[in-house]
Amino acid sequence: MPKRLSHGGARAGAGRPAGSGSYGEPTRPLRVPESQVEPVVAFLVAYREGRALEEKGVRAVAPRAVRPTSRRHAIVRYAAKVPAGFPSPADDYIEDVLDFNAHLVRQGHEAATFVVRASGWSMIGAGIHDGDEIVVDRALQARDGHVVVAAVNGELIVKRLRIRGGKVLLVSENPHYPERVVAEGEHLEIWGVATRVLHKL
Amino acid sequence: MYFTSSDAVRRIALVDVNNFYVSCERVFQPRLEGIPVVVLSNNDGCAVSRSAEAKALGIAMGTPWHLMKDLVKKHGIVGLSSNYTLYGDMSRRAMSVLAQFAPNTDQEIYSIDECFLDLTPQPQVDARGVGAEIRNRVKQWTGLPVCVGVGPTKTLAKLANHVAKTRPEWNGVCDLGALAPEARNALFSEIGARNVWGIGRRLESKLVAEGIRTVADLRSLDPAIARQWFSVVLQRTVSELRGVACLDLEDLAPNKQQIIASRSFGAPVYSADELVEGIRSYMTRAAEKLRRQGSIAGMVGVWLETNRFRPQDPQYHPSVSARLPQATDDTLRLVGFATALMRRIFRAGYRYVKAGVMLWDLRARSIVQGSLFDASPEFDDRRTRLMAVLDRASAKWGRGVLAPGSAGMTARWAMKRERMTPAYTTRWGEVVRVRA
Repeated sequence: MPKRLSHGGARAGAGRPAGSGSYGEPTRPLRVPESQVEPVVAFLVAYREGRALEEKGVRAVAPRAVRPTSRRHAIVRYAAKVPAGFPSPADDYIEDVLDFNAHLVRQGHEAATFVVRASGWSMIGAGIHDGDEIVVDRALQARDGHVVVAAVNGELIVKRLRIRGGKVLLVSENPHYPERVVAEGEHLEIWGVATRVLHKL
Repeated sequence: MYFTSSDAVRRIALVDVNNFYVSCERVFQPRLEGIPVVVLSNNDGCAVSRSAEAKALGIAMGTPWHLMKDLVKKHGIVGLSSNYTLYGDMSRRAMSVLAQFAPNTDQEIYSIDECFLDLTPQPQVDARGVGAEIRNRVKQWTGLPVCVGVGPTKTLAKLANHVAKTRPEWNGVCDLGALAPEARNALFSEIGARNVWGIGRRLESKLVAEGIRTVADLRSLDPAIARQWFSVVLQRTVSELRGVACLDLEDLAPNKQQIIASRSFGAPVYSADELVEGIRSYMTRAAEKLRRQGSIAGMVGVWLETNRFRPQDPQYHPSVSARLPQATDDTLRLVGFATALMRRIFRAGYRYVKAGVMLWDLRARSIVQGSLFDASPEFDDRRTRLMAVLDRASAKWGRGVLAPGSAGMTARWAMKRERMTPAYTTRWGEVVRVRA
């Protein structure tokens, strides 16, 4: 019969008390898929920071994890940037109302942001209905795959831009509408890149 | 010989939009590109902006629309009424893009489509390179084509701008400082003195009488002689052409289409009350200029700026303009409007470093439209109620459906309603339609 060991083993009152770690609450170990390690760690850092601020009486926004997409990493919204100096008034420690302007117009691009109205149904596959308002940013570089407003032979149209080899295509998002190849000698000018569509339900 | 080494270091850029009103319309109607277009003033239907094609047809500034009828029929000239709301907004956008190229203190907005940028504090920057970048960025961000002229004084910058604009081989950017003296003198001998800032038609004929025809001739004039034979203003012009900066903008009083008063504050401003002080003094100055040129203003604009070159500051650059219920030159009225507009756009929590006011839609002061009729309180009260009716009417049926009449306006109303383009950038119901 083995002798009872006199050292080791659990003891009453031993170990770090639950809730005294950096999170200030009980924790448990968890397995995390390799691809999600970074965003999860970032989330936890922000969470910890948020709690520390609350302690000091500053009302902090709890970080919210966005449901991860199938192909990309989860996007985690930080309550505050990892502090690297004094908090600036621009940090959103303090919660205000949702600012629609800041949300719809890219900061710094206000002078280049316009609104146009879609007339027609050829882009329904992109979520653009006839009559919808489209926010257009002229400061962005138009790339393959962008929905753009373009001036073609003097007319403003909205299409998806495709660049295939040397050819520029303006593609509709509706099976009933053919794609449009911009031919030699035709005058095409990108007017701006569509960033948001506002659809009234 | 004329440019000393210290003057060569001083660099002023003048950036202006080509055919500004027409260019604004073309952004939203690309079919207007390449065809003759004129924009007509709202009070008397005369051309206030012409596209290059319209200029080529010989249409001079100020030509009334009804005198163009034959040309219109023959060449398909498009005539549009002034859409001040649109132009004001597009101006704000262009100026905002230009502000990215120099700190607030170094940008001076001269008119609705021209601005000076002092590049002197940025000696490392290649003027032609930055000029090309300015052209590209303004064109991409706003759709407006601009030209850039760079010189050691404002007069030379304006002359360089003229070169950039009229000679396509410069690709829209001309830096006089980059030219060798021989090349510069050769250029000056090819340009008429008329094209120098401040030289009007009458002065031009007087100069020609003295054998002074070209810019080179004018430049070679002894400033002391210029003062003796002509005026102290011409003396300053000649000095400026020689690279010596001495011109105060106030010295030049050609009838401008807008009057702008704007300045950077000595110290940053945080409160509305402090801003009101600034706005009041700028508007007082502007109103003085307005009266001095015998005009009244139909529109007032106000803007505020934070320091773009301090990224740690939250940025806010609002601007607003409004039509006056009645065109006026009365300082009190104008200050009152400007203050009210400023309070509308003011937001607390920002570190403001600059503000400005603009008076535009200028017309000649006539007896009927003077401040004679504004004196009585009953008139004020009736007018307030009238304004309320007008506001409700335009809210219900659209802008411009009803408005105060004034002498000589009735014939133009039809034109104004038919030919004014929508408020593409300021009213949700009027944004430009794109075919989907």
